[in-house]
Amino acid sequence: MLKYIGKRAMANGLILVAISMITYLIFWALPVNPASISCGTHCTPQKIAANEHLLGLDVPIWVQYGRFVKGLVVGANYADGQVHCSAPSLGYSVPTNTCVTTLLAQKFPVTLSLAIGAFILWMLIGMSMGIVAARYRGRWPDKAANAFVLTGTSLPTFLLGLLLLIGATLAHWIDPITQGLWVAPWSDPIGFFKNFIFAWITLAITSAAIYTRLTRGSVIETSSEDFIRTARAKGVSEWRILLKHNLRTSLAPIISQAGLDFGGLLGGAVITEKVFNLQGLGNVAITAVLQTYDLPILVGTTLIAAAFYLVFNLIVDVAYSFLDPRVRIS
Amino acid sequence: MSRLLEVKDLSVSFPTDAGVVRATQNLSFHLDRGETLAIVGESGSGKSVSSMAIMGLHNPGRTEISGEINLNFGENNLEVVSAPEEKIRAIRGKNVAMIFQDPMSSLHPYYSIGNQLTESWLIHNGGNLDSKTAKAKAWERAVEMLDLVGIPDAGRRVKEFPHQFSGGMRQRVMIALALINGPDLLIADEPTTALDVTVQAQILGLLKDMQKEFNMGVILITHDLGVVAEVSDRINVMYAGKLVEEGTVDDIFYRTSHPYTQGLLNSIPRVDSGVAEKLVAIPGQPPSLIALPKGCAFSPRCEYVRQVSSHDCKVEIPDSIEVASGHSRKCFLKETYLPAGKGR
Ligand SMILES: Nc1ncnc2c1ncn2[C@@H]1O[C@H](COP(=O)(O)OP(=O)(O)OP(=O)(O)O)[C@@H](O)[C@H]1O
Ligand SMILES: [Mg+2]
Repeated sequence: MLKYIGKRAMANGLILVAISMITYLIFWALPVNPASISCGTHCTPQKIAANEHLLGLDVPIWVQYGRFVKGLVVGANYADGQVHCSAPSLGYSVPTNTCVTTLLAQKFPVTLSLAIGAFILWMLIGMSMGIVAARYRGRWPDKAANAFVLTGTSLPTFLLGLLLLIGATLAHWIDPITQGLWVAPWSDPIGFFKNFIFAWITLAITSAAIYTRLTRGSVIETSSEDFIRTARAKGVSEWRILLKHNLRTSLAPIISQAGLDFGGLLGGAVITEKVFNLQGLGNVAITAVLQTYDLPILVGTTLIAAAFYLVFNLIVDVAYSFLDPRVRIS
Repeated sequence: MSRLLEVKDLSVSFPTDAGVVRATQNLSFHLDRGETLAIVGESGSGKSVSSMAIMGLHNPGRTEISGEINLNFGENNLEVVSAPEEKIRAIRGKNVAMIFQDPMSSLHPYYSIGNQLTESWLIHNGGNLDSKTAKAKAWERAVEMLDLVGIPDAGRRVKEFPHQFSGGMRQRVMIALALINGPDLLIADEPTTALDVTVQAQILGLLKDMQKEFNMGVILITHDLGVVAEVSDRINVMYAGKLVEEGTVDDIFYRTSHPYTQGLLNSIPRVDSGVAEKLVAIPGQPPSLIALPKGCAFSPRCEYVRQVSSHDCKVEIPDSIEVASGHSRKCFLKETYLPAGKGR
C-alpha cells in the first residue's frame, strides 16, 4: 500500500511539473505584456524595460522557469534583489507587493472554509435525498427529489448566488459592507457563519442536485444485484439492506466524484467567491488573470489547485481500497 | 397434520410497459417435510418467479399476485400472499431459506463470510441476547455451519471474503448461510448450474445430507433432468407459467404423459438405455408471456396436436387430469403414456 502511494505521489509530482511548465508557456504566448500594464499613463520604452527587469521578464522563458524552480527549492530574491521570499517560494507578485506563497497562505483559510462548509452541506443533502429517492422510487419522495435535481442543476451559480446575496442583504441578514471580510471561526463564530452561509448554500445547491442524482442512480443500480436479493432472503429489513448492503457498494462512484469535487473546490470557487466578496484563492486568481496579468500568482494558484486535485484523487483511490476487500488484498 | 407447503391457484404477473407478463398461472402444488420436489422447465417458464413468491420476495408495487401459499411450521402458520411484510420477513431466512444460482454474485463482495453468516443468525435469534453474547454465539454458529457444509479450516476461513473462495466453496457458503437458522423449507434455485460437473455432484450430495440433518422440505429448481432423477421424490414440469405435468420421478421418466415432458426427456442423454440415441431438441421457442397463444400454450410446438380429435388444442385450454394417483397432466391426448425416445 505504502509503495503504491509513493509511486502515485511521484507520478503526481511529475504532473505538477508539467502543469507549471504549461502555465508558463501559455502566459508567455499571451499577446499582453504585464510590464506595460503596470506602467501607467506616461509610459516610455525605458519604463517598460525597467518594469520588465523588475518583473524578471527580461530573460528568456526557460531562465524564468529555472528561477521559479530554484525559488521553490531554496527561496529567492525578487524585484532586483529588494525582496526575499523564502522556500518554498512560488514567486513574487509585484502588483500586490507580496511573496506569492505568503499571499496564497493568507487566502487559503477562506477557500478552505468555503469548501468544507459547502462540501458537508451538499453531501448531506445530496446523499440523503438520493437514498430516500431510491428507497421510494417512483413515489412522491422520488418525484420531489427529481424536481430538486432539475432545478438545482439548471440554476446557474452566479444567479443563485446573486439572488441569495440580494435577498439576504434586503432581509438584513448580512451587511454588504463587511460581507466577505475574513473573520476566523474561533474569534467570531457567528460572524464567520454569517460570512459563509449563503456562499455555502450557493455552492451546495447545484452539487447537492448532482449528488442526489448520482446517489439515487448508484443505489438503484446496486439494488438489482444478486447479493441484495440474498440479504432480502435472509430476512434483513429494507432500510438495513439499503444502508448496510446497498450503500457500501453504491458509495464507490460517489466517493470518487466527491474526492475530485472537493479537491477541485480547494483550488478556489471563482464565481461564488466573487459574488460574496470572499477573498479566497479563486478571487485572487481571477484578479491576477483579468486585471494585473500577475504571472507568479497565476502559476501559484494553478499549481495549488492542481496539487489538491491530484492529492484528492490519490485519497479516493486509497479510500476505495478500504471499501473493497478485493482491492485491499491485491 | 397439515402440509409444510400448500400452494393453491397461484398466479403471478408483472404489469410492464409492453404489457402484462403472466409469469405464473394457476399453479397448485404441495410439499411435505423430508420431501424433495423438483421444478423443471425451459428458461422463462416461471420456476424462479413462483419460488420467489413463496418467500414473498416480489416487489408488491410492481407485481400482481393471487392465490394462496400456505406455510405450516408446526407452531406458526402463514399465508404468504396476504401476509404483511413484517410477518413474511420474520420467516425469511428462518423457516424458509433460499439458495441461488450464482454463488459468485450472491454473496456481498465487501463483507466477510462470517459477517454475512452471523447477520442472518442475529436477525432471527439475537433479539433476546445482549449484543456481545449474541455476537459471540453467532460467530460460533457460523464456524459450526461452515464446518458442517464441508469447508476445511472453518475457524480461519470464516474471516475471509467471498473472492477468496472457489465457486464450489462459495456455493457451500451459500448453503451454510441458508441453513444457519435450521429452516423447515429450502428452495434451491439452480444451485449447481454455475458449477463444474464434479463440484455439482458434491453440492447435490451435500444438499441431500443437509435435508436429512434438518428434516427439511426441499424445492429444487433445475434445467438438468439428470440432477432431478438423482435427488428428488416428485417432479413438477412447467411450461409458459403453467404446471403441465406432475408426478413421481418414475411417473415422469418412465410413464411420461405430457408431450412437453417427453420433449424435455428426448433432449437429454439417457444413461440407462445402453445404445447411443439421437438427442432431439424441442422445435420452436417458448411463447411470449405477454401474448400467450390461444388454447394450450404448448400447441404451436406440439407433435401430437393433429392426433387429438376430441378437442381443438389451439382453441381450448386443457384442465389438469389425474392419469394415476399423484400423477396428473394438462393434455387432451387419448393415450395416457407417451413412449420415451419417440414422439418425433
Ligand atoms: N420483475 C419482473 N418483471 C417482468 N417480468 C419478469 C419479472 N421477473 C420475471 N419476469 C419474467 O417472467 C418469466 C419467468 O421468469 P423466471 O425467472 O421465473 O423463469 P425461470 O423458469 O426461472 O427461468 P430460468 O431457468 O432462466 O431461471 C420470464 O419471462 C421473465 O422475463
Ligand atoms: Mg430461474
